[in-house]
Amino acid sequence: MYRQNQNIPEEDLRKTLETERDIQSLDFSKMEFLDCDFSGKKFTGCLFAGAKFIRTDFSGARFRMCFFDEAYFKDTSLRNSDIQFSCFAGCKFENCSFENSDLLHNNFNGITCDNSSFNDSDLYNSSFILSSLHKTSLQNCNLKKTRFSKIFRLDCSFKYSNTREAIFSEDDEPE
Amino acid sequence: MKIYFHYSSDNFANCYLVGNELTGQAVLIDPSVMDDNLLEHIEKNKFSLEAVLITHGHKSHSQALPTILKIYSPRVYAAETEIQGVKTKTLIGDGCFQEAGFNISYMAVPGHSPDSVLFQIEHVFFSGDSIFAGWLGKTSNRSSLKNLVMNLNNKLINQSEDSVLLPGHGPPSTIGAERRYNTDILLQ
Repeated sequence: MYRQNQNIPEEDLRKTLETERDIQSLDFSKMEFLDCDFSGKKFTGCLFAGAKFIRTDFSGARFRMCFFDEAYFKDTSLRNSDIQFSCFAGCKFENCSFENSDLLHNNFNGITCDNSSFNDSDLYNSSFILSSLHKTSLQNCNLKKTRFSKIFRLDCSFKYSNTREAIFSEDDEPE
Repeated sequence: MKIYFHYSSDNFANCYLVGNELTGQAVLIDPSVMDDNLLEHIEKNKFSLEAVLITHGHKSHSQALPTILKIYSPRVYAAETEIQGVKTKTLIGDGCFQEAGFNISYMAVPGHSPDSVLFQIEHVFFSGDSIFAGWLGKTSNRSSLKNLVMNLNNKLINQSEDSVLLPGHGPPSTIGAERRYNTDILLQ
């Protein structure tokens, strides 16, 4: 697990990201990443709060117990990733893809998601409370125990997903 | 500090093994099930299991305790004097103790159950069923809810933004996220 007030220079952190495949317990908060390739890397117990990811490739990456609070993702791929027990609360996703991923036990509360896709993913026991989903697709997903309470959604699709096993607000009807 | 998240699909509960890499010791929080996976985490890391911490006495957070005590000899901390037939080192109110080389703080947060406590190790809070990512644990009446919210506001929600919250069910969170997106707290 990352430590608070870690004193590692940003340059060293970037070098670690470039050269290491297994990255553990580091604090990358508020850093900006543009056109980076982190595909296939494994992250455990890292902090990315307030970080910016633009045209970043995380395809096939693995995350465990990582924290991305209020981070910003644009034109970023998280396809075929394995992300479990991590927190994306308050993140903004624009034109991003989580397609065909294992996304179990994740906190997506308060996210803003625009023109993005979670298609063909397993979102078991994840949570989207107070999130805002616009032109976002969750087709053919496992939504068992996934929470969608008090969400705002416009032009979203849940086609072929098991919405009856998900938890929606009483006044919301996803089908 | 290394934290292993262990999920029980039988009762959908989270259990955490917190290892101290410096001392080779560990504590276990809310053992709902003892299976090969959890045993492997303890053994593979050669951790000496020093203590079991129980956030509240409900079965889904403590039912593996008798099995664990057949294998290891940890001290058991809880706010009840006895859990699953096991005598505890009983916690009263708020305070702290040392185990596995960690300073562990505990805070009473009655509401979900009379014996509910939070545990804090470094910047990580283990909340049991008192608070989850985005909502609060069930309470039996309005007065218990009010009491729970008051205690959480005074003891947890006022902690630093990037402190980590590891609940007894569901995904992890941070204190900052709960301030902004916990609908039950926002409604109070």
